[in-house]
Amino acid sequence: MMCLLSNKVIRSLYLLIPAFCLTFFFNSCTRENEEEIIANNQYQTVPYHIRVPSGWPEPSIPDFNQTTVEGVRLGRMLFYDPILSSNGLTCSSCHPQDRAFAVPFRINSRNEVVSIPPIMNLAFNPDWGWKGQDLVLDHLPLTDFSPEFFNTNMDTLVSRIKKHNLYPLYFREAFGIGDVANISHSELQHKISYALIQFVRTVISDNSKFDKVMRREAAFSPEELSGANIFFTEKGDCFHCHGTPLFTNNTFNNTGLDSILSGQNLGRYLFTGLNSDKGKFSSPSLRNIELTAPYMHDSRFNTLEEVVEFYNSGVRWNSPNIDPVMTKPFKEYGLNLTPSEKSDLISFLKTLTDTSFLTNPDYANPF
Amino acid sequence: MGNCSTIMRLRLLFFLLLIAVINACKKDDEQSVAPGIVNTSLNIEISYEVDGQSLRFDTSGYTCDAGYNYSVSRLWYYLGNVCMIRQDSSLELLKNFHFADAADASTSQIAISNAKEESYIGLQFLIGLDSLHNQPGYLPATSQNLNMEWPVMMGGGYHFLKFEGHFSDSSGLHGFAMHLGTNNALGKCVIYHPILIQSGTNKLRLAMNLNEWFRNPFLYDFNIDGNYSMGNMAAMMKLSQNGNDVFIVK
Repeated sequence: MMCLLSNKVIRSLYLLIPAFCLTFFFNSCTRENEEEIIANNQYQTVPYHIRVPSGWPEPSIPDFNQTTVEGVRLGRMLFYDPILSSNGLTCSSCHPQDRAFAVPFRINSRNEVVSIPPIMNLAFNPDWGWKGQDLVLDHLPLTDFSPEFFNTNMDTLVSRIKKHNLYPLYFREAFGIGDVANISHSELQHKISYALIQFVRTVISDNSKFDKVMRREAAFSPEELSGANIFFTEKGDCFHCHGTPLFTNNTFNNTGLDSILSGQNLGRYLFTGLNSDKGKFSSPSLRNIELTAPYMHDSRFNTLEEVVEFYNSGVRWNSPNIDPVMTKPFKEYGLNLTPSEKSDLISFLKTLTDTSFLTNPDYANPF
Repeated sequence: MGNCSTIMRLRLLFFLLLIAVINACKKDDEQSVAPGIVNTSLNIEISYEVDGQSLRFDTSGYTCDAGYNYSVSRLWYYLGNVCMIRQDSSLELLKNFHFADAADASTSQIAISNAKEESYIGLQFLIGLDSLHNQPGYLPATSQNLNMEWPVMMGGGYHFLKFEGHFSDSSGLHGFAMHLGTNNALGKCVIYHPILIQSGTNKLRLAMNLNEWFRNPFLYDFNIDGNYSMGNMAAMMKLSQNGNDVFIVK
């Protein structure tokens, strides 16, 4: 096409046109048209841009549940509201903010003790659950409606939402639902689940003492520095499964907890059926680990001291599929740290506690 | 609502037409290509074997030259500065770095969209990252790159290789973790093989023979040289030099 414009004019147009069009388009619809859109169960949401700390990977967000301001607002309310249950429980009952949103443990339907990881930084995981069995975070809360947790009566829930002074508006603005009584119980459960997870994805912990040291805003004590040197070198080798910045490598590993594997100790094998996955579990994030006792998939360790002692002297080197990193020369049974070194390692682990996260008003009870 | 959306559609159409006119002028200036050089595509496909046997993870039955039966649980690595070698021995850079997970087929393909039609005498690349890229936080913060970080306390940068598994000897089953890192342990593969890149889609097949890591020029013995190389510079140097010919063009 013959060009009638000089390059200088073209460059100027590239600056002017976007500014012109921003006002040109977005003033086109009047307030009257907005009411018409909402009345027809159509809605416009405002994207919520999840804060990604420097050096962290991009969050994983599915197309079917993009994070919006309206969805996060609704999700945060529902997280703290007993409206969802028939027994007075809320999500926060088992995931309190002052414990990094971590419940100590629960007994599952097979009478097994299962440790529940904290709700934090979940947007950056590729999968969830100790076995990696939860591939869609947005569906995780669906199990909470069951008798085992909220024992939700869906008819009662619909009635409660309709009578509430805010939920009818918030459901409409988040999902375009004009009347929750006009959708199926299954769809309502999904929308509630989506709202909860939109909120959960915004919950980020990245302001521990360790983070401040990395930003040069604080300094390690001598004990903490010694512990960091154990953590980040072959002396402790913790970084191979708990590397920065998430303090998890989001892979599945067998750390030698048991020589004989049965029941839930079979780990990821229970999900994949692969013999090579026997004994493997997802490496949890160590952020806020000081607050999230007990430890391991079955809550077998009550203190950080017990955890460190396991890695120091209790590794079952003959555990099937034990991670190769666990079997270094002269350390097949553990790290052989001195008492002082073990204490220093724990001191370092405690620098991963983010006190501001525990009281962040953005994640707190809005009621 | 109908009037509003129609007006918006007309304004959008006007905006798009205006952009099209401006871009037509822009393209005349930008797409100048040197005469005689034609861009084409090249797909480098990587496969893995152990002395002719296809690699299967967590499957014992592979035997290294030191006589140990072994299995592989993880093979992650970087290829750096992937270059074609021209007739005059100068280099044509194709890719600065590429992360590969041998268990993930999506990383076994390197797609090059701006390859040149030319007759080359070979291919050259690093197993690892050059000193420019091998710095803390230099690579994009993807999960793959973050999992390859080499601690700052130990020099910083990235692992070049994580080759892990289990081997058995007379005393039982043991793990091995062949990790390479730090600039001293950077290896280079130079493969002289005629490669003709023509118009259309070109394919180049590379194969890694895992036993070569333990073979040439040094026989690597887990029980003598170490079954865990990280922090063991002597072990890493042996592996790094052995790595110079782990790849062939197929």
